[in-house]
Amino acid sequence: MFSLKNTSPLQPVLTVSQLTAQIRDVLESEFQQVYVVGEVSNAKVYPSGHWYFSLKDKDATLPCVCFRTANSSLKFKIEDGLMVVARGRLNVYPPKGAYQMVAASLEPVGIGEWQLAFEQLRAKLEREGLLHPDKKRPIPMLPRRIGIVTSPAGAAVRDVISALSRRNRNVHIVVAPARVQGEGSAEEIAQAIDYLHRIPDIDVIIVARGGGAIEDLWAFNTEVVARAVATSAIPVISGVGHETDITICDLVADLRAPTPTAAAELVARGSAELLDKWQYLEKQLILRVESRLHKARRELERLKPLHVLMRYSERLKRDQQKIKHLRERMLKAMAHSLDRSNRTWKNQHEKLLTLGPANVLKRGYAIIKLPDDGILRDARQVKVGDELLAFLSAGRLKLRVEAVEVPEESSDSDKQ
Amino acid sequence: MNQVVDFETTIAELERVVNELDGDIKLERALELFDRGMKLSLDCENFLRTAEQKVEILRRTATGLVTEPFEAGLELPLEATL
Repeated sequence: MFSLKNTSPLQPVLTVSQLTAQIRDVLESEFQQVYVVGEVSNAKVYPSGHWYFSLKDKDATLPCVCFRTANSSLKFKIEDGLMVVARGRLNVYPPKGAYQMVAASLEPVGIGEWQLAFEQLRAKLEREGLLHPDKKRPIPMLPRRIGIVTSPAGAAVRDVISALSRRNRNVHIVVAPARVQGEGSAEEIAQAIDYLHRIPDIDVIIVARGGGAIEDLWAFNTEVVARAVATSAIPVISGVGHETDITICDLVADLRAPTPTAAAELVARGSAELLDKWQYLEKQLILRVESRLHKARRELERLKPLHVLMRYSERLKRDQQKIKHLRERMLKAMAHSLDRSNRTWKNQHEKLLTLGPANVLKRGYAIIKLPDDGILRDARQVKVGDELLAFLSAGRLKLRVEAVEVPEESSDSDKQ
Repeated sequence: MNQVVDFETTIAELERVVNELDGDIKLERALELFDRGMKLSLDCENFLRTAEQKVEILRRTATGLVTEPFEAGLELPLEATL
């Protein structure tokens, strides 16, 4: 023992270890079970899984540790800024002369543990861009093979199958069974999604579960399910819980449906739309071609008179040709006949000339014309006092009839 | 998947045909389009006719995954299925 000037026997001098041991005894026995509220700072998650952080308020800081065995049952992750109530004991670490709180449990303040975990996972996925609208893939309009991840014993599977059957009888459904509640359910759901990728030609996956408390739906708020949905090569529709329940699975999925039945209806609605569209298009195809044909018929109707005219003009053209031909023939014939008659006339003329009155007159005959220019052949054509003209070979004479003498028998011969 | 894409493509092409048919086109082209449209529509119909309703459940076996007919509502012990 040391002996110093200012020491008293009542106040013995202690070694650091002695004092620290005393402090440790006092603190650790006095604070075996304590609740302390504070804001988390300097939070660190070690590879071992232990959480190291400080709880602080305005004036003080308390170093804390939450070992893996304790924090593994917590839904949320430790992070700076969280207000938590820590339950635990104080622990003194002599080599550093430090004390810290060993937290057996942490409870967020002002927000539920589940809610906090939800928000944390959501923020994490958001930072990774997994919730971005661009990540949403289109749901095929007419899926032929639909995978359903759900419990085969639950109500959800029946709801989905009956809704799909109601809307679209031509669908092939593959149920990938998974427990949707309790320990290990998240892993089973993720596994079931993976299994469906090994079935050929699955067009869309519905992840379904009926309504329940937030704890019951917890599997759908886990990172393992979120990642399975996010990385799925097949588009995923999430239909979990009731309308008011929103899960991480809903946020990550390509399409969120308020309920399992609604998920099935979303899938089937596309098919119904496409079917309607097909039927509409087929009807339109026929209607429009009919309308076009009708138009063509109307055009034809409108062209009919013209058509007749065209035929008419065609005929006219043909007729004209004929007429032309005829005319030519006619002209030719006429020319021919003219020529002939011409020649005839010439003959006659020559004949006339030879037989004509000139020669006769030269021979001493005269032609006597009546006042009406007719040629006098019969004495009975005139009466006494008539004036006549006599044409001689040279010159003419005006004559007056002084007597008419008619031979009795010559009347008959004249008539012949 | 491909067949589904084909169906949607077919529908889209049918829509184009119908739209062109609505325009001011020659009768000959209209009849051409009609023939094409009817062929596309028939393809759609065949696609729908070949599809059938089937409900199956996945089961994991020693040799791998198999599908079996599934009756909704039938209580199946989970261990028996996966």
